[in-house]
Amino acid sequence: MHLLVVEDDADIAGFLCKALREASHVVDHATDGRDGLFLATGEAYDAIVLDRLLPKMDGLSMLAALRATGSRVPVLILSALGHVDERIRGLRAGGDDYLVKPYAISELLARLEAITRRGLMPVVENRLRVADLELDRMAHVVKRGGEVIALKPQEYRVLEFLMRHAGHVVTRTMLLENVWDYHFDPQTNVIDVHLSRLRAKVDKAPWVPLIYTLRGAGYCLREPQASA
Amino acid sequence: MKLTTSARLALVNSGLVAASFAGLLLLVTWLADRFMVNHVQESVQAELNIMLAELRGDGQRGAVALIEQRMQAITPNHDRVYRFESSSGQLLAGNLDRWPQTTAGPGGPFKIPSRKYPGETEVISQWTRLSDGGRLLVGFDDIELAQVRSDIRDAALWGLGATLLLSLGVGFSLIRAALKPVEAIRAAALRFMEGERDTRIPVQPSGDEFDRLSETLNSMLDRIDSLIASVKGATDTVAHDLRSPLTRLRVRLEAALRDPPTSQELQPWIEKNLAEVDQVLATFQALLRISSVESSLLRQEFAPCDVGQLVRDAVDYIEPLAEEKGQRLEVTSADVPMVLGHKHLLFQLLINLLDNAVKYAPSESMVCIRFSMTSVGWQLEVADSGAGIPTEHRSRVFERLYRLDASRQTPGLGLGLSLVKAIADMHRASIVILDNKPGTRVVVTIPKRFNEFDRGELSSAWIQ
Repeated sequence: MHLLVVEDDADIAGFLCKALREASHVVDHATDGRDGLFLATGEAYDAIVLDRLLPKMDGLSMLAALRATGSRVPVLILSALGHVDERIRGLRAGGDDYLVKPYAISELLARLEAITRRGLMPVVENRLRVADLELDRMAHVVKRGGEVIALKPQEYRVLEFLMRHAGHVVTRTMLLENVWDYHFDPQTNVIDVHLSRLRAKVDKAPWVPLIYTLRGAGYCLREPQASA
Repeated sequence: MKLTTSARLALVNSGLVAASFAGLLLLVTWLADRFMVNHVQESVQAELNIMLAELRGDGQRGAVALIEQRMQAITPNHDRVYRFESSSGQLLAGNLDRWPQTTAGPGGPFKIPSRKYPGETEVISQWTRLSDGGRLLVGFDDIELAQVRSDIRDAALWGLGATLLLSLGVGFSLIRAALKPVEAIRAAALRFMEGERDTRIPVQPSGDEFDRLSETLNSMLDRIDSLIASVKGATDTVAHDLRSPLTRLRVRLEAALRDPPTSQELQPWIEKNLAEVDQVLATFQALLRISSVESSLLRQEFAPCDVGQLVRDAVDYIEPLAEEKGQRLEVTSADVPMVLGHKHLLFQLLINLLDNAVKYAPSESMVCIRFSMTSVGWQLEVADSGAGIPTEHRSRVFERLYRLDASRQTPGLGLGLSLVKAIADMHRASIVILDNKPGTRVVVTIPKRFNEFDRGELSSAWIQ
């Protein structure tokens, strides 16, 4: 993907650009809001990573100006301001997602992927399928190899989210924000417990596991690899 | 020039006294004047009547003799005028050579200038026409009136002077004595600001306004004092709790500089340190969250919440944790009215309480969650059968970063209950920890008194 990083801190920007290039993206970098806006309006980017506090023109103003030109490019806002209403303000200004500093790079990559795909596949499918796992969104029924699996509502929502993002990394915070309708601090690793319960139902032997744990990143539901 | 309050009050007071005194004097003078003038007029009328009676009885001669006699009796201080004239205007008797210039008709009193004290006194006169066409005029001066006036003026001046002096002097000292507590309050406030935090305003048992004010101010000082102490305590703990992991990190980094980890050791070494940093960041995040809740600004986001639904969601969320430990969650949730509150924060409160209960309750035990409506308000109860919290620690578990020694081995920051307390305070809810025999029972009560959205108005207590 062709990405634009707008970040004024040289260390963070260097690290971020390097990590994104390692993830095989093409990255441009701007150090202030005005340059960022100039680049963003001149090039066709797949996504923009935008810091909120920038010299010359702050992130939200830059975003508003960009949206005013009619651009629909997905934007991920980075900010040290983590409160719920700051997040809402960021999303209202036209951001597609909001990540609070400090963040794990794996979290940022997963979210970038999620927002770029959001742009590509707006159509909601009624039937999700990964390998022999099937989820019918109309009937709320989950089947594996034709066998119906009974899931609790919460487990169903987690599985649905994973299947909608099949093949991509889903972080714990992404799950928290999307499956549970509350903004809260999860205290302990309850998410992991939820996932292991889900696994016990969906991935139980002799089925081939479909839900993978990615250390330090999150989870991924995907077709089993040929080698696996 | 700036005057002190006591001087200003004393001045205003004596000004008022002087003004009312002067008003009283004016009234007295006016009344005395009227009385004296009436008195003189009546005397003149009487004299005229006597003359007429004499004229009727003894004729012109008798009247002339009487006037002569009267004129001799005039004392040197007094001025009295008589004029008895014939119809042709010839003076028959009297000491007034010419008829005075007056438009006054017979019977009505009029004034003519005094000849003895010109300008100072006047002669109040009256005349009458006789049956033969002659005229008779009698006039008495008002020297008594002038006398009384000057007496009143002298007395008034002395009296006013004395009153002013008294009201200024006594008033000033009285007011100063009355305002003395203000000075005491000022002095105490100054001492408090200079750091003597145990300073309090002295309170007399008289119970007057100043004592009540002093008592209120003293309790305000108590509150400030305890807030300073708690902030200081919290800052100390925070500093301590954040310093320890940072110190560990520093030591490890320094050691790694001297003796770098081998390539096999590197991965776990970095992961361990990252976890440490994440812990510090999480502590920061939690502390910031608590203070943002404590600031009560989020009350603006209050909306009607279905707490019964929140309880069910929270239980669903925590349930896998309990299942892992073989615990059972028993939920009793009555159908109750909506609560005006912050949905996300109330959910957080529930999560924290349930998480604690599941964490500290033994395996295969039961955790009870009860949500109901009582006469005072909504009541939420979370009870476990764990180790419980010793009585002496119950008030302290809400402090930031406070952890029981027994719980130091379990993961956690010691901020969960602080956040619970902050959220409860924000909803004006009380929170108490009771003994569940065995275990802990936490009861949160959201009072109806402050939660009156259903009346279509927010109680003014909400608007700060």
